[in-house]
Order: sequence, then C-alpha cells, then structure tokens
Amino acid sequence: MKRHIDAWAVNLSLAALAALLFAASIYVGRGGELLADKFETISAVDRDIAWLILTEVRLPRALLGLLVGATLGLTGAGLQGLLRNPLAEPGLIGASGGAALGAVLVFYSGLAAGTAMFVPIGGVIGAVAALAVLYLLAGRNPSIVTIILAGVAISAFTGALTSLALNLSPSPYAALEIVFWMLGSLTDRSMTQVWFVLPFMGVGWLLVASTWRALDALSLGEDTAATLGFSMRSVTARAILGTGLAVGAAVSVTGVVGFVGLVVPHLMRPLVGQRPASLLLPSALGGAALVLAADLFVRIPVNGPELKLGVVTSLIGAPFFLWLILRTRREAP
Amino acid sequence: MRGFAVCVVLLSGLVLPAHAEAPQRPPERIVSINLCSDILAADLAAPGTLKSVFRLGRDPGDSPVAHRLQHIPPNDGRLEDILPFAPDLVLAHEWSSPFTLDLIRRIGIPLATVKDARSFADIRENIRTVAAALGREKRGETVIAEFDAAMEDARREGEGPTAILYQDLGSAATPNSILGRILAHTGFRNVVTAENEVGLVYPGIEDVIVLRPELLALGVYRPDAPSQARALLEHPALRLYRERYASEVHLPARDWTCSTRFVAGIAARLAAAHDAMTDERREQHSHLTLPPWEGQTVEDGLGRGRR
Repeated sequence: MKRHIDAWAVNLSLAALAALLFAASIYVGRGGELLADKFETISAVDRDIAWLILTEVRLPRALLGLLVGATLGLTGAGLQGLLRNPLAEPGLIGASGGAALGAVLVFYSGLAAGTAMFVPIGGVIGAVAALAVLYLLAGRNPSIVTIILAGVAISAFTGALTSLALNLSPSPYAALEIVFWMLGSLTDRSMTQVWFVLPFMGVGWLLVASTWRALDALSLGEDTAATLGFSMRSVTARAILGTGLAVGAAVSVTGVVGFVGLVVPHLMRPLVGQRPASLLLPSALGGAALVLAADLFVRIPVNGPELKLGVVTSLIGAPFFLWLILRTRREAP
Repeated sequence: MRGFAVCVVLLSGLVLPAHAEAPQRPPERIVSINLCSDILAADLAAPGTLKSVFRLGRDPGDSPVAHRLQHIPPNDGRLEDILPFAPDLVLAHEWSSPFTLDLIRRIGIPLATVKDARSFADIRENIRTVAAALGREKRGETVIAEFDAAMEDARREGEGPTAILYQDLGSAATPNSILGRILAHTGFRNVVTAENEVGLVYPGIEDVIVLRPELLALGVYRPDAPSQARALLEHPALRLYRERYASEVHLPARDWTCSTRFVAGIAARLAAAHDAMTDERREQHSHLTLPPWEGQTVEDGLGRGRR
C-alpha cells in the first residue's frame, strides 16, 4: 500500500467541498437560475418574501442534503467495517427499505396526524428491524454472498410491503408516492422536518462513530477484536442501532436514496487508506458532498416535476456497483 | 383466453340482431363505465334507465352526484361487469380502456363516449352527445341552459387580481385548461402563462411565491387521506405566504375532476372570492392617497397590509 495523503488534509478539503456545494445548493435554483438575479427583483418589492424563500425553502433543502448525505456516507462506511464486507450499504442491505416501510406505515395509517414526529420514529423502527433480521440471517459468518443475498431479499420484501401498504392506503396518489419512497427527493422539504430528524441523526452518528476503535480491531477478525477487549455484542448493537436511527430518520423525510453509502467509502479508501476508523469522517463529508451535488443535478430540467434524487444517485451508483463486483471477483482467491 | 374469445363471438351473434331491429327506441338499460359519463348520465337519463355506474361515480370524494347514485349498482369498468346488466347502451370516456371499448363494439352494444372537456363549448358538446344517445335532447338543452346561466352569473370583467390555481403534487393550471379558463372567466389574471397539452405545469413552492399571486386557489382532493402530494400544500413557506400576502379559496376536486356542468360551482366560488377581494381593495383605496393599484409593483397593495 502506498502512503496516503495526510488524513487531515483530506478531511479539510472534503469539508470545504461540502461547504461549497451547500452554498451552491442555496444559491442555484430550478433550471440553474441563480439566486442573486431572482432575489434582486423580489427583494426590491418585498424583502420579507425573499427571506421567506431563503429560510423556509432553500435552507431546509440544502441542510437536509447535507444531513442525509453525511448519514448515508457514515453509515455505509460503518457497515462495511462492521460486516467486513465491501458491498454493505444501508440501501443495499435493506435498512433503507425497512425505514421506508416503517415511515409509510406510520404516514399513511393516519398515525402521523397526531404529530409528524411519529414518521421518523416509524422509519427508525423499520430500519433497526431490517438490520436485526439481516444480522440474524448472516451476522455470525458474514460472507459476501450471504450478506448480499439476505440484503436483497429484505430489500425486495420491504419494497413489496411498502407498495402493498400504499396500494391499500386511502391515498389517491399511491402510484406516485411509491416512486417517491423508492427513489427519494429533497424537493420542497421544510425546516420542521430538519428539526424532526436532527436528534435521531445526531444520536445515530454518535453511536456509529463510537465504534471506530472496535471497527479497526474487527478488521483483524472477531476473535482478535475480542482478545483486544472489545465486546462484539456491544459493538454490533451500537453500530446497528446507530445506523437504524440515522438512516431511519433520513429515509422518513427523503425516501430511499440509494448507492451513496456504497460508493463513498470506496472513493475515500484510495485517499485515506483501508482502516475502517479513518474512513468514517471522510465518508460522512464525502456523502454530504455527493448528495448535494446530485440534488443540484436534479434541478436542471425546467418543465415538469423534478427528477427524483435516487435516479441520479443510482445512475452513478449502479455502474460503480457492477465494477466493484467485477473487481471483487478478480481479487477473490 | 380462447374460451373467452369464443364466448365473445357467440355473444355478438346473440346481441347483434336485437340491436339492428330497434334503433329508434330510446335505451332503457344504460350502463356507464366512467366517472365523467356517470355524472352526465345522472343529469340526463330518464328515471330508472341507468342500471349501473362506475364505482367512482358513487364516491363522494370524486363525484358531485354520488348521493343520487347510491341506489345504482357499481361496476369496475370491465366487460364482465357490464354484460350481466344486458345493456342497450354503454356510456364511456374516450380514454376508457381501448380493449374494453373494442370488445363492446364487437359485441354490438351501442356505445357513446364523452370527451375530455377543455372548454365550456366541450362541456356543452358532451351534454349534447349523451343526451342524443339517450334520446333526451330536450333535457340536454335544459341542462345546458342552466349551466350557461350559472356561468353567466359567475362572469367578472376587467383586470382583476392575480391568481394561481395550485393543487396536490405541486401542479398549477395553465390558461388553456378548463380551470385556467374559469379563472379568466371570473376576472382573475392567471400568473401562470405557459400553456401545454396537459394543461398543468409544475412550479415549486418557491416559484409560486415568486409569482406573487394575490389569490391562491387550492384544489382540494380527499383532504383526509394522507399523502405526500397533499403534504406539499401544508409546507410552512406556502402557509406563511397564504397567511400574510394572499387570499385563499378552496376548490373541491369532485366539481372539476371531470369537466362537467358542475364546474359552475367552482366558478361561483372564484367569483365570490373575486368580489371579496375587490371590495377589500376598494375599501383600502378610499383611505389611500397613493396612486391606485399598479399590479405587482405597488408595495402596500400586496404586502402585510392586505389582510
């Protein structure tokens, strides 16, 4: 392995990139129209309206892009470390699908009428349940094949149940809403939703980050990690619960945004090396940058509804995934 | 499948002669397989002749005549649902499943289709089409006269307030859609100027606010059913804009999902909103020394003062 660039330099430049894209996300509107041009005309008439758009439409969208991207990047890196598997990712192994199912059940059953806070809670429960099932199916002996097969099965099953729940719900827009939950979107979210997801994500991030030393030890094998004094039970529980909290909250407001958690850690490895611990922060920053960039991309078409975010991330992610499978096969003994 | 085809051929042999023999007599066993034709038939059919309606025709969320159709058995628009009623006329929409329409024609059941009405003339034409198929031309002309009178009552002239008609999913009505025409008819200036075949454009919440409509006419469809599409209308930015800067009127979707004579109800609501807004404006005028309303650039006219 060649020497890697200083980790701090990488982190700082990724943070700068994410900050730049965050600013761009606020600044660039539909069809690439710039904020300044638009606001000059509005704020001449009424400053309050310009302020309203800035704080209630543009800011929450950019913030959610940042938060959701960071969540997906961080949990992707965490899961790849925990399962010692380069193909692990919240979307691929069913956590996002489970979260979508949980959120859909709460949202369309009318439970959310009491408080919208229940929707992220439903998402969290769904994600944790999906991960727990995966771990029961494949956890002790995580070969690539078992994990991916179990994940695909869970994803397909939760996806089908989500569609079923929507079809049975009284929603008149079931077909369109299935698309939303499966492909994700950041369009016209509000600050309320940012406040709802923030605590879940915060706790989730901390739980996943708290496993960083254990993830390094785990790369030497479970037994070695145990001799080094890490309790596998506690590490697994923290990683799964943390992922469930963060991903569940993210999916409950944006739907399933696929492939980010898969692609980002792989992009970061050449920069910071293979150690799972050193991957966590760069993956979070890189994920945020990727989702913000993808969200800029979906705004380009002017006519008709916007593209879904998951369309763009999957366009990037799926070919990458294929390339990864080819490489894994080549490297396999 | 083969069995079904054979069955169809046999049926066509059975039904055809009956149909050929009596074209003059008005139909007595009418089946409607589409919401829009349900609504028209409810107005036009002679009592007791409507044997079955499409299930949505009986659903108060979609149908303005639901209460009048509760005693009529529903169908799901499939051929198998239609045949047991042995209809002598089927009413459908030009967009009904082409396979079903084709089967109905091959069996030889008389068929009348209504079209997607995009103008007031289209609405009258649909009434005439169905009335003619039912042999109730006179009743048709009465309904048209009522519709025309109701629309005339709702007509408002002049350069009125600006408005947008915004609905679930974030779609807004274009000037060439039926809703766009009603906006113009009731004296509003639609802030959406683009036109297209579908009659809808999709401005984001931000774009709606930037267009600064003085009236937000919200299309309301099944408000109790939770959906992301509907949650959009509750976005805080849009709510704040409605509260501070614009008047608001709710238009129930069942009156316009199908463009029928019931759009006159939408026109009446918009006309009432128009009157309320112009009264308010006049009042404000009387104690304003500033030059009168110059549309969008006069700050006092649009801003917080107007509540």
